[in-house]
Amino acid sequence: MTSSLGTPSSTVGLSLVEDTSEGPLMELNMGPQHPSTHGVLRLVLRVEGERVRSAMPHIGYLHTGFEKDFERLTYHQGTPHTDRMDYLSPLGNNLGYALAVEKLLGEIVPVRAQRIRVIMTELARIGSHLIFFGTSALELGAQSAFLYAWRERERILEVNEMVSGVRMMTSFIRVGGLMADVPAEFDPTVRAIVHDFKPRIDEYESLLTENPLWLDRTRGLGVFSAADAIAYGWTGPCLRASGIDYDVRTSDPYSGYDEYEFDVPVGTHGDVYDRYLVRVQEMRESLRIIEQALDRLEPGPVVIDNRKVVLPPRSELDISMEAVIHHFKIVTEGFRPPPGEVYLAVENPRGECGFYIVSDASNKPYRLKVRAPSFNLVAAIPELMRGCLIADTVAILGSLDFVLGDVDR
Amino acid sequence: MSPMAASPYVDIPALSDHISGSLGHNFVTTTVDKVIAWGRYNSMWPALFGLACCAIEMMGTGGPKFDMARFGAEVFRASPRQADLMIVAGRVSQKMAPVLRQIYDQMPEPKWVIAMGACASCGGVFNNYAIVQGVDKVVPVDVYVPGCPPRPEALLDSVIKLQRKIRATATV
Amino acid sequence: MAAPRLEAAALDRARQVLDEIVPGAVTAIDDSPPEGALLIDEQHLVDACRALRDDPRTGYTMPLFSSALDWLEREPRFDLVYQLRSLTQNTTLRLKVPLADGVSGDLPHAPSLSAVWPGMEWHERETYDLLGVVFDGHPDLRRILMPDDWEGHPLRKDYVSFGEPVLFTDRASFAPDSAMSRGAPD
Repeated sequence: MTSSLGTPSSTVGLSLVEDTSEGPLMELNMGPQHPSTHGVLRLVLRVEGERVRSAMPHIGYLHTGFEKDFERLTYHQGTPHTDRMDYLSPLGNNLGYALAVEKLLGEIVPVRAQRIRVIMTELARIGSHLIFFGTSALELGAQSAFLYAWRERERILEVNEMVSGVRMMTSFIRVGGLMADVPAEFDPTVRAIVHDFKPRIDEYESLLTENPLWLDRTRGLGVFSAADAIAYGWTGPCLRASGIDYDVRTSDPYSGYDEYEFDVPVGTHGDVYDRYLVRVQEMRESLRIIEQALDRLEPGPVVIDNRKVVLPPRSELDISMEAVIHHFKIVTEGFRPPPGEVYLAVENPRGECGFYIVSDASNKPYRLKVRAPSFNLVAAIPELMRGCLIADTVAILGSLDFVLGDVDR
Repeated sequence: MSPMAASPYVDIPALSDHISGSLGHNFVTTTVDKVIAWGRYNSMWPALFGLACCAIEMMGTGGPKFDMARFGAEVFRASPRQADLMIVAGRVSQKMAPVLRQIYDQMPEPKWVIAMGACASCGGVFNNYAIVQGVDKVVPVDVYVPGCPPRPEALLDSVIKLQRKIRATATV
Repeated sequence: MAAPRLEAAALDRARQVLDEIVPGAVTAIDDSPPEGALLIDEQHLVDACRALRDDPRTGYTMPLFSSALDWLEREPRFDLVYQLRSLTQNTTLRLKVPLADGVSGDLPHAPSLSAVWPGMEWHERETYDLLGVVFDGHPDLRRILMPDDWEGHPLRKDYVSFGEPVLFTDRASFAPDSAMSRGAPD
C-alpha cells in the first residue's frame, strides 16, 4: 500500500492502492495546485471509479508563522499581519485583534469609531460572500456569476481605497480606534452602493437559486448534522446552515451590534445548497446593518484619548514636544498593556475568529493564538466527502468557503 | 505567325505591377523571429498559481474592471503542461517550495515567471522560518512586481513589460 | 462586549459541576483580569471535559480551540489551553492544564481530547507540530503545518525563527552568486 504522505506533492498522482471487496481503490492526488481547492489545499482521495471512498486533507502549504511573528512585533506592528491571515476579510481580522488588545487595555473606542468599524466590516462581509458566490459558481460551471460578483466587489474595494488608500490589506481598524476619520464622500458613496446592490442581489440570485442545474449539483450534498457541526467546532454560515442559530454578533455583541436590527439566517438541511442560501441572505442583512449604522453616524473622535496607545494627530507634531515624544515611543517601543490573558472573538464571514492574547506586561504579546474559523471547517472534510462523486468534491469545498491563509496561518 | 488569342502566359510586368500595388495593403514583411515572438507574447497562457492574497488581486485583474483578456493572457490553464506563464501570486512556504519547482518543471519551453507581490519577490513582511525569501531561490524569475498586494494595474504593467522583454529577446 | 460578570458566573458554575462530578479535577482558579480560567489537573482532564460537555448546567458542546503556552523558565514548562463554548448557556470557558516538559529532551505527554470533541483532533496535531506536545490516545498524531521531515517545534520559545539578513543596496555585494545580481535592472 503506498503512503499518502511521503510522496512528493504533484497535480496528478495515481496509484492502485488496494483491492477491496468492492473493487480496486485508486489513490488520487488533488492539489495543492488546483483550480478548485480555493488555495493550496491538498486532498488525497481514494476513489472507486468516480466514487470517493475517503478524502484526507493535507494543509500547511501556506503556513506563514504568524503566531511566531506576533511574539517579536509590538502590538501596533501586528495589525498589518492580521490583514494577511484571512485575506478575504482583512478588516474582520483587524477588528478582532483591535478589540482583543483593547480589552487587555480596558479601553472602549468612541461611538463614531464603533459605527465606522461596523460599516467597514459589514462591507468586507459582503465582499467576501461575493467571492464565495463568484468562485463557487465558477467552479461548477456558471462563469458569468464570477464577473458579476467581481463588478460589485470592485466598488467595495474602491471604498477601502477611499478611506485608507489601500484596496485590500487596509489595516484601517487599529488598536485604539481607526487609522483616520473617513472623508466626506464616504456617506454618499456607501449609500449609493447599498442602494444599487439591493436589487442586484435579487438579480444574481436569479442566476442560481432556482436554476435546476445548480439545485441538482448542490441539493442534498455534503450534509452535516447540527450535532456533528457543533462537535467539530464549526461556526459561521456553515454552522447556521446546519440549523444552529449561533452568531457572535448576537451572542457576544461587540462594537455596538446590539443596537442594530438584523436577522441571522439559519438553514435547515445543512447541505451545500443551504450554505449558499445562508450566505446570500447574509449579504442582504449586512446591507440593513450598514444603512442603520450610516443613519446613526454622528461627528466625534475616532480614536481613544490615550496618548500612550494612539498616535497623536500630525498637526500637533509641529507644536507640541510631548506629542513628538509620544509619537516616537509608540512607533519604536509601542505600548505596554497590563499582564493578563484575553480571548475575544468576532464574527468573520467564515465564522468565529478569535484572538487569544497572553500579555506579560511587555510591549510584545507573549503568545498570540488565532482561533481560525476555517481550520475546523477543513478538519471535517473526511466526513463530508465520504461517498460523494469526484465532481461533488468541488461543490463541497466551495460551500465551506474556507481560506487557506486562515487555516494555515 | 497567325494572329491568335493572347499568349497563354501572363504578361509578367503587368502581373508584378498588380501584385506590388496590393502589397502595401495586404502583406507585411518581417522576420520569423518577430512573428513567433508576437504570437507568444500576445497570447500568454498563465498557469494557475495563486497562493494567497495576491491571488485575489490576480482574479481581480482577470475580472471585468481591469480585464487581462485585452492583453491575451486571460486563459488561465489549470494544467501547467498547457501554460507558458507562471504568475507566482502569494507567499511560498517551505512546504510549497518543492511543489512550485515541480509545476515549473512541468511547463514546456518557452516559459516565463512573474513574481507577483512582495512575498514572491523577496519574502515580503515574513522574514521567518516558514516562508521562502523570494521565489527566485526556487525558479528563475523574469519580472518582479512590488506591492502587497500589487494593484491590478501593476500586474498588467508587469505583463506588458514581459511582453516587451519577449519581443526584445525573441529567438526561435 | 461580553460582560466580566458573565464570565465569573460561568467559571463558578463550571467549578461547581466539576467539584461534584469529577472531584479533584479543578486545582485552582486563575482569576487574573480581565478574564479567568480553571486550572485542571492533567490526570482528570478527559473526565472533566466529558462532564463539562454532558452536564446540562454547563453544556460545553463546542470546542473552540486548544493550544499550549511555553513558559520557558517556569516549572512546569507548558500550560495547555482549551477554550470551550456552551450554546445553551451562552458562555465561554477557558481551561488550563500545567504540563511538565519531558525528561532529558523527550517530548511531554498529555491525554488527547479527540474522543470528547472531534474538533480537537486537528488542534492537538497543531500543538504537537508547533510546540512538541504528544497527545496520548490521538488517532492520527503527525505534523500538520510544517513539512513531515521538519526538525524542531517552531513555536517553542527556544526555537530561533531564522529569516534572512536584510541587504541594503548601497552595501550589497554584487558577487555572481548573490541574489542581487539576478534581477534585471529597469
